[in-house]
Amino acid sequence: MTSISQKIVAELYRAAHADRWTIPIERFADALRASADRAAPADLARYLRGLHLEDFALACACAAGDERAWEHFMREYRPVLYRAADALDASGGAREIADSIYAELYGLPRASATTGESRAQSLFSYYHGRSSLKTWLRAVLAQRHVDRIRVVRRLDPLPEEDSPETLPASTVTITPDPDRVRHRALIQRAFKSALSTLTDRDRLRLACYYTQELTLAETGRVLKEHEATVSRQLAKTRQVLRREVERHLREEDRLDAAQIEQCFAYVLEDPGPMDLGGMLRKNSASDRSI
Amino acid sequence: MATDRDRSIESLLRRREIEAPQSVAQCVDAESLAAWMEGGLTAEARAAVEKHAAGCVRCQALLASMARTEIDADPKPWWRSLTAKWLVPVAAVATALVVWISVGPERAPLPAPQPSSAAASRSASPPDPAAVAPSAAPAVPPSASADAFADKPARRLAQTDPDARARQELDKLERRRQDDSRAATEQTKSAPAAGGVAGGIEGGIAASPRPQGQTAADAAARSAAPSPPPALPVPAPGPPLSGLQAPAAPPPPPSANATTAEAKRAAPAGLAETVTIAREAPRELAAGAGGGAGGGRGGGGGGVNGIEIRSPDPTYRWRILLATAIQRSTDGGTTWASVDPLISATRGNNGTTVLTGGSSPSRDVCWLVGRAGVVLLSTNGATWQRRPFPETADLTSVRASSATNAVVMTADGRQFLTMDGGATWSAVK
Repeated sequence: MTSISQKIVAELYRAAHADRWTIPIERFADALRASADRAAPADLARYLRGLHLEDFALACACAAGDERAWEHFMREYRPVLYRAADALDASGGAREIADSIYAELYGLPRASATTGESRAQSLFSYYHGRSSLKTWLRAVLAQRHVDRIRVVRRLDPLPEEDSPETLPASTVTITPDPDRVRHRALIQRAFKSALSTLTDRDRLRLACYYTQELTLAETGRVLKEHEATVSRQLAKTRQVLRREVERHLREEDRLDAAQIEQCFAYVLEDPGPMDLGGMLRKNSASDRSI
Repeated sequence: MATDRDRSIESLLRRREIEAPQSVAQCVDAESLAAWMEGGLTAEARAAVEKHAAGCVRCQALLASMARTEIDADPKPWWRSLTAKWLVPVAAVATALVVWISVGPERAPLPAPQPSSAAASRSASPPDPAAVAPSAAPAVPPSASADAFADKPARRLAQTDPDARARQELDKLERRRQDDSRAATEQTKSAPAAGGVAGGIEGGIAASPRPQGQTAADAAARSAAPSPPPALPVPAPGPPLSGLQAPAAPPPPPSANATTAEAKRAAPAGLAETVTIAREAPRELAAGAGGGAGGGRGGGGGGVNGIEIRSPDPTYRWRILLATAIQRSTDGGTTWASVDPLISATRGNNGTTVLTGGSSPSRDVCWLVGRAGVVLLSTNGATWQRRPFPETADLTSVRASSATNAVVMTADGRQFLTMDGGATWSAVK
């Protein structure tokens, strides 16, 4: 565990107004050290300065079972959690998740998915003050919500082979063309190659806007960009992709202008089986852990 | 085909399929995600999250969920709500309306309603040597440095203030009148100016020419000089005034009285005059009156001019002709009807009635003031009531916001306020 001097702990304790709650300074110091473990030793001072100390103290107090802190948390933060839940799922589905999070925060045992054992550790112990408590609660809620959706999707039965869902909508209107499959495969490969030339930020912007179907404003919120910037950057990225696809088809695949034109025309009629999210994932150079 | 190619790229970008299962062990933890959204990560950590999220559908979905809940999680303050968004400007407009209605033309201090220094300089343009101020006299005394429309604030104010706009219009009229009456001026110059004194205030109100540098003291002194018909003495001189001259008229006789505008310049700076006083004389009247009463009263061309008083409704106007006759127009000044029931009731000590200014806060309400403490009020546009005034001082102007509220100014710069239709008056400190 990272070592932090008593003097600094005392300063941070005061700065956090931790004396509002009945949390002993020793417990606060332990939580602080656990949090500091996430920082590089050389960066410890900056890390400690950047902590949301008041939220951190509140979380410590709640995790320690301070009734006043818990009442304060209920009064100030539960509405936040519910509002976020309603924003995620207006039908009330996310409220169930919010309630379960609330129970976990209180320290009610949560059955482990793998072992079936239950632990009585508060969810607060995972909060280290690196963000505000409100945003962290929303992040936890978002995680649970997304994971639930993914599980549900995985469990959804696959559509029947001959069901309309499995057939491309435009299939029936496309005239038979022996070059279609080949040209479409070429342009898809060129497109994937073009995606790999983009920066992480450009790909994330594409993913937010196209894969996650966020609005420009929401995308801007994720990337800390103005929505006008998002719009401008997306247009720029599309131009880059187009030029790169054209270059790839011309130089790598040795297609002439007419064939390139045909490739784009085929894609315009029916892009075929392709997933931008999958392409972005496979294009990610290193899908390393954070 | 550039457009089709762009659409092709767009269609490729929009292709999505059911995502493949993905390990979540490598994903960003909730706190890093939260710190990302708050911009609290270091540059390195931010780049690492960005790199991971660019290829991780789950983290993209998490970020998307966070983005979707951001606004809703933190409710807007009440003042940013949709209702308040409309409520605030509506309340502001309502407040402004209430203030405007309650205050009316009696507004915040304005510069004296006189031609700007620029206008004055333009007024000085006619090559009349007699109209040129003595060289020793300061062209613009300090008291006039804050003069009306030459100042930008006053110009800005004039854009919103009807009275200021009216004054600007009057300035334009004045300049136009100057242009139009060049010939008449020449004729007047050749006529004896001795009759001048009588034209004193009335002529002066209208368009009394005045050399630059002439002060209220000078004017007061001149007004006190004997002249046919005898002018009432002006109690006290006002502070120094800026030079103002009307080039369309001949140089003033030594006994010329201070104009209303000059008296207003003498007013305390904090109390601006808002009375609309037109120097524009009806041309059809100018010719006749100039040779008649106007000429007899001196002031030359100035004697033929009147005081025009405009109500907020521009179609309803009043004017004082030759300082004694009152006319009213209900068609924006096209035609005028004489409304003159008050002469007998308002005669001064010398048997004449000399009206010097007026203010019409509404189409049927008009306040008139004159020499020797004459205050007249009409609330129906037809009949007049003489209102008692505590002093016999010469009144030079009035500004009224209603039939009950008015402020009058004496020739020596004092102001009196009534809030009961002229029944009682109190001096404005």
